[in-house]
Amino acid sequence: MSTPTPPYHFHRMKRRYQWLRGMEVLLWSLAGGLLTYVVLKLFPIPIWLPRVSGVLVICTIAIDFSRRIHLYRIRDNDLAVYLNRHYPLLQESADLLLIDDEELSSLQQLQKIKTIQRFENLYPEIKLPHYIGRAAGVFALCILLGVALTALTRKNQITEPTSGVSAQQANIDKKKLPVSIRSATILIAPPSYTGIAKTTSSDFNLQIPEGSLVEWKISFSTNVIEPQIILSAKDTLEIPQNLGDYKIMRSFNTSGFYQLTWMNPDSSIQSTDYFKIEIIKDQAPSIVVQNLGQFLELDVNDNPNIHLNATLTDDYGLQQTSIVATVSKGSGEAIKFREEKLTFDKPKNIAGKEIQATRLIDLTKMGIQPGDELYFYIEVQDTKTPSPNRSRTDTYFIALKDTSTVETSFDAGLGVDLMPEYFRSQRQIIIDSEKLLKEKKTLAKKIFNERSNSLAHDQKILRLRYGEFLGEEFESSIGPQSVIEDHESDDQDIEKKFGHAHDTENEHNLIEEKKHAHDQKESDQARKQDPSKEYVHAHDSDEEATFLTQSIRAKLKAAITIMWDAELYLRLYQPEKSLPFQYKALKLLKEISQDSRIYVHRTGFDPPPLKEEKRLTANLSEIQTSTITVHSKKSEEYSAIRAAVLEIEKILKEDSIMISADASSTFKKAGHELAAIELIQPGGYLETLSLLKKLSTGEIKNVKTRDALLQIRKSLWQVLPQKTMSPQAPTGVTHALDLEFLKNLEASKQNH
Amino acid sequence: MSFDPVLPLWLIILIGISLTLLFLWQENKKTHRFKGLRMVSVLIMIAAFTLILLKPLHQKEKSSNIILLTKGYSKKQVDSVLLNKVDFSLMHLKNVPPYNNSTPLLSNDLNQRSNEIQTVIGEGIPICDLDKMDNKHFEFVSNTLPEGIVELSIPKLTIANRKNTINGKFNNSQETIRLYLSGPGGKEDSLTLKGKGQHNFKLTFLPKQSGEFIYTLGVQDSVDRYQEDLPIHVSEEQKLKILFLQHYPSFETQTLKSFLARKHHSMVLRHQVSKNDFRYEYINHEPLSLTKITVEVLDDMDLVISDSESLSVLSPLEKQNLENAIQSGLGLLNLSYQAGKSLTNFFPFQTISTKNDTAAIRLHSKSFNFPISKSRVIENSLLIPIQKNKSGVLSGYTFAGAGKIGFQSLQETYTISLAGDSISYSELWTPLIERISRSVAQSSKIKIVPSFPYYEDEPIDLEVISLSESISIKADDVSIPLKEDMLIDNVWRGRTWAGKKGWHKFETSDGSTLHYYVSDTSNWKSLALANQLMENALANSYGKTAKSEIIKVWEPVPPLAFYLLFLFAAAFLWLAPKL
Repeated sequence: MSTPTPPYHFHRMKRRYQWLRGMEVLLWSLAGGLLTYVVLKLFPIPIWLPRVSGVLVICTIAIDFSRRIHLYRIRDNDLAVYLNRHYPLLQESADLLLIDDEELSSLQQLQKIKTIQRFENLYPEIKLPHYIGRAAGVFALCILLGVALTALTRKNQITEPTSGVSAQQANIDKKKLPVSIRSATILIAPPSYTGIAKTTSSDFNLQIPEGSLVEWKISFSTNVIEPQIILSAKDTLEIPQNLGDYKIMRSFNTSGFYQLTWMNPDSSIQSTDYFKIEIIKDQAPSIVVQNLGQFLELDVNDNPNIHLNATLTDDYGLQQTSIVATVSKGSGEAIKFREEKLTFDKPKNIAGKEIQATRLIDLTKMGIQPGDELYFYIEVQDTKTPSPNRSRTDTYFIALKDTSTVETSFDAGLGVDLMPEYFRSQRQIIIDSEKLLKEKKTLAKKIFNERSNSLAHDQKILRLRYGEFLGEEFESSIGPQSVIEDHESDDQDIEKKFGHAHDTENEHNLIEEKKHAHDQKESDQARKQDPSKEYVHAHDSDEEATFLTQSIRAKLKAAITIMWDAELYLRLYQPEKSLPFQYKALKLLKEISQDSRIYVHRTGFDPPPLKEEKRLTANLSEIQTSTITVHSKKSEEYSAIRAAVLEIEKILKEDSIMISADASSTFKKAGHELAAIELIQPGGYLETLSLLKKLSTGEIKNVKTRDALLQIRKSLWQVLPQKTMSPQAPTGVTHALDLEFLKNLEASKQNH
Repeated sequence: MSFDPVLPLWLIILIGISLTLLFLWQENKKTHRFKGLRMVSVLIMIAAFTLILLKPLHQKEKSSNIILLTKGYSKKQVDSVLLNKVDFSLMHLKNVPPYNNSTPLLSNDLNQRSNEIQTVIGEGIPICDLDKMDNKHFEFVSNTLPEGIVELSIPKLTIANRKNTINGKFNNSQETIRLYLSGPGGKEDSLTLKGKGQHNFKLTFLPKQSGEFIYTLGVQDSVDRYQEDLPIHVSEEQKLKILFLQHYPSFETQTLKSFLARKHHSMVLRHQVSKNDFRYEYINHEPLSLTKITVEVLDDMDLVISDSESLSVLSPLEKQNLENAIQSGLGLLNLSYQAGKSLTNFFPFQTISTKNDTAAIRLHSKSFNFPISKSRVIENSLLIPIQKNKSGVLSGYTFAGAGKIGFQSLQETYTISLAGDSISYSELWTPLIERISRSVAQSSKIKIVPSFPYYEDEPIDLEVISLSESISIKADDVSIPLKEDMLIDNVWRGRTWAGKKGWHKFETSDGSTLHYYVSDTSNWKSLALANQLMENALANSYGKTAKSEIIKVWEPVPPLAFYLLFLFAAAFLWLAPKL
């Protein structure tokens, strides 16, 4: 193969140069075009303008740049000039390489030969001028800039309906339209207080905020007569014509469904499928108090300033909030209440969807003294019109302790003291323990231990009494039980012997104690069967005892656990170690008594005054036999749906599916019942309603009828409520032999 | 010796003679060696050919006993049986492929030859054919149980609004299989069976209304999935007539009354206001004179709910009436009882005092605690408990003549109803009330003898117990003749043939009905086969052992010898010229 001649090299260099500089032009023009497009998009101008401008800028830069660098007018001579200028080794003879030998003199030819050699050596190192790196850098920068600016692109671009996208946004998708409807637009205007702009729906099924105004604008492809909209199978509204289209507006506060129906010129009635209207309810505001427990008890020395932090949120906006505080002073029948309405310190104005509100409650300024209590709750209102939603929190209790009064718990308003009779004895045990400790030095060790033990016994009895509330049975001790007769009286003797005399004034109001004692007299048979029975309690689950609520149960359990510890140290003759546990137990018991307190309005039945002259005379002359007769109506719930289910069963068992006129009528009635249910539980049965409608009008063809029936049957079955079971009269035939058998059986029983 | 010619005898002889003459003449013409032998060969060849056409038979002595091959028989099993019973005749049923020269046995001949059938191999004689046989005493060498549902128990009485259970057995040949029960509302219950072999299964469903429904019992394994149509007839709820005799109204009885009233039961309540003054309530019942508890009043009632206080103040005549009514079928439910001598007839239970005064029970997957009477009834063989826990029987009943006397120890059960848990409340009271109540006396009862499934054109045997002397029955408006049992009075039997696929009904002349479903032949194959196997296995107990007799049978002479003779003769004729 012959070696390439210099002209060939020149061609190659020319091409390479054109390619490099062409790329450079492209990068510059793209950078310019991109920048133009992105910048113009920041402005509210038609969407086509930035695009067109960008293309124009690209073309302009490309053309202008190409012209400047003579991209398409590069000649071999220009290259030769460049080479002569930049490569002195060629001795300004590069142009000789382009001239044929016939046109050169001998000296020129000689020079040419030398130049060729040098050129061949130099060729791999020849660098052509270009700035492609710079162009690429600028292009990259423009891309980054474009991305950054795109993030700031405003959303309020004016969009014009183009053939594809905008038509879908403004009108219902043509594919979703029934055959006779050429176009349909649904405009939804939510209430102004929601702050939501008007929108159009792309679907006949609507999901709209509560109270929204919906406008349908429908254009039919044929001349229709009396188009109507039927709302939830109840209300029928005629759609009036307006400049060729049919328009109707209606606002909605409850979910439902609707259907469009019209009469064709041939008097046939046509209707669309069922479409649902789902209402997004305006939720009531929510209030979360962050830093305060529901019950707060303060000592006299505690800080009387309470910081109240609350987060108020609403789905559309809040407008008003207040703190309703009630101060209660005094106790018993002298109790007095004073109500105040407070506002939050921050923020001053209540507006927006989420507010962090704070308030400093100064108990001193409110006049709360030791023994008084403050109850408050937060109330908030949202911006809903006409009737705003209101929410309030639970009542928070702040009590200022009064240590000067004796702790008693008494449920006002109830005639019965429900507290167990030993409730007050924990304090007695504490007092006696403290007294014992004081007298420790003066007492003999034996006596000290005895008294400590008796206190421990009292503590145990107290613990067991409280344990009754948790469903535990009375236990005397662990292990096999010896038969103890008259168990109760023994207990009482022990109490009298070791226990404390306590208040007995209220005993007549006390409820009857529930004595839970083991059945000590277990049968031998039972003991043999289950030897562990002596060691476990065969009683019902304490978890299921429902005397007290869960939080109080937890506290009571904790108190009982602490009482165990208190008893332990008393048994170990260490009352000083027992006292902290006793204090803790007392505190928990007080908390429990506080928790169980509620305030209710005083209600009562005032019976008519008794006629003393008629009392206890045993005169029954006015008492007569009375008769009440009641006939409960046996109306089957969902009778049409039940009939439809049975009809479907009848149809399905046949090999060929045929919907008779009677069946169609049954399905229609079932559809009405189902429509009523759909109103109560929206969205669940719309598809079934649609299928029922199609079945009754014969729109579903043979092949799909079975599937439709199966689906309808399933849906209708799910509608039917599950009733509780009812006792059945058992059936049977009593044969003469049966009677004879029974007679003989009775006779043999009696003989035995 | 006898013949079974393929063609008419004269034709065979004519052909034979013609061919003999022809071949003899041809051989005679030839000048090859062994002429004599060639002639003899011709004669042997033609004779062999003629015998092939004549198919000679020879007589053989055999036992009259039959080994009957039925569908699905295993050849190995047949061979092993034949080893011990060589001289038995081998026969096969229609549509069963023959084996080892077995001869067909038509179903019409089954009865005639039932005495001779000694062994049956395979899936057994179809039940409808088995029924035709007077003597069914044979040894049955059965196939293994088919894969699928091999036992099924559908509840006889399915009532709306309560859980009903289907029990069965599935023969699994795969590792894991899933059974599901689907109803009109979709899937009702499902379970997974793991491991090969037979597994018991239980599926529950809750029908929401009465009527005839086709549920589907589906089987899904790793490869395949199939469904069977399960017909369920859901009966209407029957109403009770209940009499409350109370000293005074209480929350408990009022709540119970309200619960029963919501279910449209008929009730009469009597509360005693003073010695001779009462307060009456009639719910879904016409007013009646209830000053005295008479036989007429009690005969109209299904259940009396009372307490010991009310019962103790009844006059001796009223007590006697009540006792007689219970013996005749009335139910008595004691809500609170105090054991006393005068009430032994109304509370025939032994009690023991306990200190426990609360009881915990589980209802509808929830736990409840109720106060309970301190006297606890002692469990014995006569007591049928309905509710019990670790501490003893909480409610139950015992039989007293045709009636029942029951008790309920739990108190303050109205709290569940007040809490809104009507399901648990009904679950607590419904079993007790309905089991103690008087049985609704039907004058006749229909029973279908063969097990489900029933197929078109197959016989269905009926058994009717009727108190009427002249009972008649119709199957879908077609009268069926009945025959009374010779030994047991009032028991009638009849037979009909199942109609086309779908629901059908038997109805007696006095109004008793029984609904049944005729399945498609493609359904329940495994169950039908399992039933057939079981019936054939049970057949061993019917009839007497087949007597063995020696019979002579004609058997064909094996034609192989004739073929070989023909071959050798023809070969010699061909070879002879070359020798």
